[in-house]
Amino acid sequence: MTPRSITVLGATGSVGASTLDLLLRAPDAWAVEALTANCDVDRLAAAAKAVNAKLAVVADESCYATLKDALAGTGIEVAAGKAALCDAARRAAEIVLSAIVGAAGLPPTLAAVERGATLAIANKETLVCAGDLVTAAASKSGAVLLPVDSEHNAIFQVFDHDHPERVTRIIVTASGGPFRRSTTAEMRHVTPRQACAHPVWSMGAKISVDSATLMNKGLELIEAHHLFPVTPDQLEVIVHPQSVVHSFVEYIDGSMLAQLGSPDMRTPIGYCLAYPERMATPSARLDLAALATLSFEAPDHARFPALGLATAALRAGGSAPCILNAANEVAVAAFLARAVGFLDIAAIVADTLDHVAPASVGSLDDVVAIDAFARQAAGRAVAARSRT
Amino acid sequence: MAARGAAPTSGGLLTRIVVGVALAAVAIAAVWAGGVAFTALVTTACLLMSAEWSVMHGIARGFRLASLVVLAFVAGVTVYVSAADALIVLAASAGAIALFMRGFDRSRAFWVAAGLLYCGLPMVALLWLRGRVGGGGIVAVCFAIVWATDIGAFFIGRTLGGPKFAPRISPNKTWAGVIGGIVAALLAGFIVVSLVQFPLPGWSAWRLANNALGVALWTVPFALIAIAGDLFESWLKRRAGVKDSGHLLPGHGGVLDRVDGLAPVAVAVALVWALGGSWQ
Repeated sequence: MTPRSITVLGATGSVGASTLDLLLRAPDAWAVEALTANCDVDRLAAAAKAVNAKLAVVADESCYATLKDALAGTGIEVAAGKAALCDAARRAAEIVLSAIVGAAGLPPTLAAVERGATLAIANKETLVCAGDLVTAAASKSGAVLLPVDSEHNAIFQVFDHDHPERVTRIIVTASGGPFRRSTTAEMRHVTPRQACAHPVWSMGAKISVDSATLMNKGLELIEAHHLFPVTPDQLEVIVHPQSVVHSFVEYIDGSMLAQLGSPDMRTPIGYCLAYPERMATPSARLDLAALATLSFEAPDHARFPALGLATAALRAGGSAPCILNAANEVAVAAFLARAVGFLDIAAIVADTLDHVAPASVGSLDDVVAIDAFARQAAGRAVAARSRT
Repeated sequence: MAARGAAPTSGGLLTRIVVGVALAAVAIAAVWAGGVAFTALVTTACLLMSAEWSVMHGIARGFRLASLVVLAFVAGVTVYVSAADALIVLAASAGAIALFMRGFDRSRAFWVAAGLLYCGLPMVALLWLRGRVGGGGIVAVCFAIVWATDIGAFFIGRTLGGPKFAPRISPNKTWAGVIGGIVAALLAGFIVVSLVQFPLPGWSAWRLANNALGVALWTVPFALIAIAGDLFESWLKRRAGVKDSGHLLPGHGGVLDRVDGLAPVAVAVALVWALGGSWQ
């Protein structure tokens, strides 16, 4: 069997680490073309040596010298800078996994899509901010988009891609976050520490807060809209505290298909790496008898307004999802810095969405400009609500 | 009020400026705050417009009150139900009142119905626009274009004078004023669009040119609509034989005089938005 070639963009983050774990379990099956990181030279160098990558890239040019030293004598090519990141994405790997966090992931991801690669997307901003651009580029180049996110991966697995008209609804599951049972009054005084204590998944601070506000689920609805040919009206959210069912797809005959699994990212990553085949992963197996019950409840839009904001942005389209995402990042950062309260996060996003006039998104430059402007506007909204 | 000009004394002009600035401050605050403040401002303006319209056309007291009740109800429907339902209520009410009145006062029946649409449509348009995602920004751009057209036309027209634009309808309007209004609207369009949409610094030359064209494409037609709205209101007053629609706003005349440009622009922007975007 000839090894499959792969490039991992963002190899040192959580998804990147899980991916490398899977690659190292079957070293003969994989030929690693390139690994990239922002500036975590130690991990990147160790990973590049372990999987014998051809190229290692750091986005931050000031880290170039350290990386070059760390990989001296290994024969691994070294590069740095944003352009080098895009070049890495353009190299001929069969599959590109994009796990760069934030807007920095946009240009290299788009570069891989334009080349027509099979792309495993774990970068939210790509689809939230530039969904129309990415899907248009993919249909032009013939690139295949595979969602890594557990919810979208679940939908992808049970969605009838040849007959999308047979699908009536997509129901995305949400764990409900740590404040599922809290009142609005209780949430007013929540600390960043409490907000980051997620009941099921262990994640970074930003995404943990997004889970607590349910904004994460809202962003996922926007992503789902770009990944699957459904209207906003066909997308729903259901709260499912056990996070065992990763999402549902309902068909015209009333059948509802779901994908279930333990909360381990290696399952959806493995699905993307092996697609259209399947590969073994070491994820924990579900013990249904031990689980005994799975519960579901409707999300409370009054207590979690972020969900409604995301839906409004999704329906408005154009620049609105990008503005939503940028404002949310600014608001969450302010919350984590204890400058504003937990409930202010959704209020700041609402203010920004309200005051920034919509625009159309025609290019990556537009996305960058809208993102920058929305951040300024959100900064003013933060200042207006700041405690200090 | 493009180039209405001819304020009799400099004291009159000062009053006009002071009142204008105060009105603008209230309007900007209400647009920015949105919600109840904006609804209250727009609805109040609409009811005052209707009252002035009724006086101008000599409409009987019962029908004046009926118009006010209908418009207040339409405002509530716009905010709490939907703009589409509000339009149905507005059209149905205008039709019903006109049909009822037709039997005994055929000419005024038309003007009552027309007044409901003239006052009601801009109100529904503005309330609907303000409720969109980015509504604050959209309405701010609308206001800026209309105000800039008014101010530019007034001062350029007054300073330069020259050939008349529409002497039979509005003797004080000049071609210089019309062009001044369009130029001012373009400038304001750039400034406000850059404030509510993109920051100007850091633009590449191409991007700036590209956006300049985009802003111009939007601004010029709306400035022309604002001027046409002003002219239409002048024609209405000429027809009714009054100089100002009312005396509520010192230096400006009545509310109808003040919003004659905004009314058609708000409807036009809402139409463009509804046709271009999704009708939610």
